[in-house]
Amino acid sequence: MGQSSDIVVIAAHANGQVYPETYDLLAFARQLQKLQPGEIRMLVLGAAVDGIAETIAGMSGQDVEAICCEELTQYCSEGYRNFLVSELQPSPPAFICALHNSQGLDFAPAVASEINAACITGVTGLSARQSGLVFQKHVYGGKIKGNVTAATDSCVLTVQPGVFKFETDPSQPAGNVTRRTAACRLEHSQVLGTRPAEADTSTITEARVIVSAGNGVGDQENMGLIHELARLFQKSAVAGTRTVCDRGWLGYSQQIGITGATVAPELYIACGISGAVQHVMGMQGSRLVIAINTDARAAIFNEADICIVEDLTQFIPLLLETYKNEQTEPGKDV
Amino acid sequence: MKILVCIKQVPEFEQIEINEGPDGEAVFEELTEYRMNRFDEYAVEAAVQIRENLGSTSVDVLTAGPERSAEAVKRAIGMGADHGIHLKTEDDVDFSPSAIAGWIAAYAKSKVYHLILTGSMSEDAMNGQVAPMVAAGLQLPGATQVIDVRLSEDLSEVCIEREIEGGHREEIRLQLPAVLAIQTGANQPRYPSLSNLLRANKQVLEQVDTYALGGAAHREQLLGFSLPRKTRAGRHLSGSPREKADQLLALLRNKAFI
Repeated sequence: MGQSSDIVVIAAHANGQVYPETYDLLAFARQLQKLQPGEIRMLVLGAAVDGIAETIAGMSGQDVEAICCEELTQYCSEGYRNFLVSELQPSPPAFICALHNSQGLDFAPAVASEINAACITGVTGLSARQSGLVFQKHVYGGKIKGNVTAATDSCVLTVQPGVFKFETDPSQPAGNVTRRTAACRLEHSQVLGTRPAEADTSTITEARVIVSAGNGVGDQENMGLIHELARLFQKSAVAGTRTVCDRGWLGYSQQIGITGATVAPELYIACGISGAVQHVMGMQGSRLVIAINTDARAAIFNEADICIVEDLTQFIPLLLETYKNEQTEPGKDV
Repeated sequence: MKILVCIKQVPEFEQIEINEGPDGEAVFEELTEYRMNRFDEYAVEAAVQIRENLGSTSVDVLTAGPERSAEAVKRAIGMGADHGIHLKTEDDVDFSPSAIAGWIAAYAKSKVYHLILTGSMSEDAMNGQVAPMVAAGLQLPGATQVIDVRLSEDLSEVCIEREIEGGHREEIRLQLPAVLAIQTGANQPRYPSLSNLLRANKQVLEQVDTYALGGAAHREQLLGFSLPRKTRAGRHLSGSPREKADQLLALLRNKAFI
């Protein structure tokens, strides 16, 4: 068998639940299909995945292949790698699409390597050019996008969640589910279990206003300014990016982003935050976003309603001082 | 025990001026300042800590890149790595992780490494692919987003915790040798020490021409750059800092936040 034109989509799931981003992945695959026709094959891999396959088929109208490997009671890189390579190697599909999350990023590059396919991770856009399909992804910390193409007939993609939106069509009949068992040898790895997050993020997830600090804060001493600014608001909380938490300036319970909390406050003030996609994923649902950053090209300004190009170490004290002066001037229009 | 840490040198891009070109592409001046990829510092630190705890361990640090990237290897030696390896490539840095991983796997194949570590991704290309690709190339088990590493006493296995969505952690036991991508926050990377930097400057790095390694395919090709799209209105406040502060306070008051 030679190359196939198939577009293989790997469903993401854990604890018996499909990750809702799997539908976004399908939306991406359908866009891809319009630019380069091929049959979409949705695969669900795991020990007991019949229910998940039925859910996806019902929700999306997509035919789903439920692949039951009793060894895979939980996600495991080696199991995914072994199954997908043996399944896809004889006739490599045009595309293999996985989510850009802790699973996709773990197995997809290994599968690509074994089947001699290209691998493009963190895809946020696609377009057709004369030379072929071009995929967009974040580069340079998210400041700009790179346009990447595959130099092979087969390409593995991990797709950034939250970019391609799936729209349900209630009139669409459910897709068919086919089921088969497969062996996913786990020779070198054993999954021991999952532990819940230690950090209690309820303080920030319940706040109405979040003042959030990024690398641009520069020095631990300047964290005082962030706290002071937060005190201006009722029901407010201080939070930060991964970098700020890794440095110990804030606890991990205050981390916003993919590996931290996802928040959607009424007001989000991003102070010295560059706007890396890992952070943006955790705050993009905020109602009003104000960003303060010295770099006018910081990616955070693409996610902000109000942009202030200033040095926060000078601007926040000025803001606080102006506010205090206004409070003590009774004649001022308030 | 023998550990290989794979690192990358990346350009300083934080302060670059980016403009929009005639076809909407992103144009910026040539990047001339470089540093060690910050995400890789966690992998170097993890390796040095293992050596400190176990003793009788050697830490090799490797980069694949042009002439200038040897500086990053020296910095890692400054952090405590023992031995530096430079896989020399053409001048222009390419974004093809399959090529980089292919060279690393080709180099490591002839050696006996118990652990191969990388950072979570590079700050410039943001691919995060090299660790799983090296694992596949060497037919070894691997894991990404590793936040905790515990070796078994007989050094035949490693218990790792990997960070998954929402800060939850997956615990996995892997047979050694294994390839791990270390997550930021797994440790606190140390600064290079003066004595180690002096040692780094004296050390002649092991140089390998990537042509000699052969076999690496460039399967991904970077065509160019474009500007990200705005997802929100992005109204810029203008005027002096004082005027901006006034506008911001008026806006916050208007929306009843203060």
